[in-house]
Amino acid sequence: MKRGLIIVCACLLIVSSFFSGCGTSDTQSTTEEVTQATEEQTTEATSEEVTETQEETTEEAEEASASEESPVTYEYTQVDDSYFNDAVFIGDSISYGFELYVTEKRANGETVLGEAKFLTSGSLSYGNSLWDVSDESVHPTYNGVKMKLEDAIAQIKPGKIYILLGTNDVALYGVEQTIANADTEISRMLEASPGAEIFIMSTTPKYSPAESDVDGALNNADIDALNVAMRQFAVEKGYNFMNIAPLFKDETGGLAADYCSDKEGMGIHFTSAAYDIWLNFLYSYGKQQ
Amino acid sequence: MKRVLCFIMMIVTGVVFAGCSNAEDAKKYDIQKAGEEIVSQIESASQMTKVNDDILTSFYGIDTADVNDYFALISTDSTKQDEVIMVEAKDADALKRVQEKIQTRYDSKYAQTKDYLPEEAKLIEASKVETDGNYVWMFISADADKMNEIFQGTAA
Repeated sequence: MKRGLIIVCACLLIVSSFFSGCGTSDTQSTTEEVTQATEEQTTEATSEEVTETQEETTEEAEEASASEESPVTYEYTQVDDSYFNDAVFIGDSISYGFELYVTEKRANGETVLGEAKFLTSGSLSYGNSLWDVSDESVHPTYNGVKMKLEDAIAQIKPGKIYILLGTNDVALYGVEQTIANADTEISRMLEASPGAEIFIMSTTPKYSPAESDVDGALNNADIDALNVAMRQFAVEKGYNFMNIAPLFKDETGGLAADYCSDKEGMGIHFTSAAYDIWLNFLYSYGKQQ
Repeated sequence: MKRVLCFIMMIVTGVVFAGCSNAEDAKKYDIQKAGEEIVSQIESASQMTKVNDDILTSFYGIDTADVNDYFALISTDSTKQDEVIMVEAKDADALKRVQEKIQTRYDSKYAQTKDYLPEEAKLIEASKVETDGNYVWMFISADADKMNEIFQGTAA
């Protein structure tokens, strides 16, 4: 009898353990399911958020990409020579070469850039354009007189001011100071010719083999950084930005060999082929009035 | 008395002829001939662009009203500073204005190139703006001596 009871109790214990285990399993399962469901819900929510964020990022990236790829920051149209009759082109020796290129064509009877004028000078920069005129300064001459850019602008009263500077700035002053100097000089020019449209052209690249590892030397990484900052500056100030630099780059991001006239020298000056491209770009990207 | 009068006449005659001689000593240069010979004899010059009235005004600021005759060449390579200009001004006052413009051009070229094109700056340093009578000229070139020789060879 006792033995029977013991056996029955043992069986009952075993059975109850079994069912408690099942109950527990179910509970666990339920808990796990709940947890899993919760996790899934959380994961789904997170995934949705991530997806939305990714989509937004993608859209932003596409917009950014599109804006970065867009060569200008304004609505543009093809223009003819008359468009440039009230234009003045300001720049350093690279622009002086462009002035010579245009001058030669005009001397041969071609009509090029209408009656556009030039204020160019080797070594000119945003920085030294702010200096007083002196025997040592490199301000351009206008009507045979060396003068500040804003003083020449006051005489010319242009409707459009195209600027290509920075090559003689970024290695010396850095990006931030170059932007600050540009801000000051452009403001002075606008005081001299209120209402003039400002067209800032991106600083052009350097022939890569001519780059130096010497600190302070001009290099393409600094030029690219300046151009990014300059574009942002132009947009913030309401100026027009023309990203001409990519037109002349090779696969290394430097000035292409065919476009460089001083590969053994500074590696920044242009061949006629490069000026051809620059000229066509100007006609293709006039600002819609 | 006669001797005194003769002496005075001799003095006056001498002064008059001396004045005439000074006027006749003023050289005349054949600017166009010099320019053509420079272009034909010097290769670097043959590759340069001939300056017209528009370029004379825009690059030098010279008023063509001040000029009787001129011949000028500019390099179309921004890394080369070669330049030729020979001008006959209309009168002494015009000469001063033209000379000042050419000197400004010379000074500006030097200031712009001395730091980034030192070899070209040396060419500029080796040249100068010169005058003779109503003529003013400047030769910036490795062949400047030859150019000047050609120019001087047209003097009459």
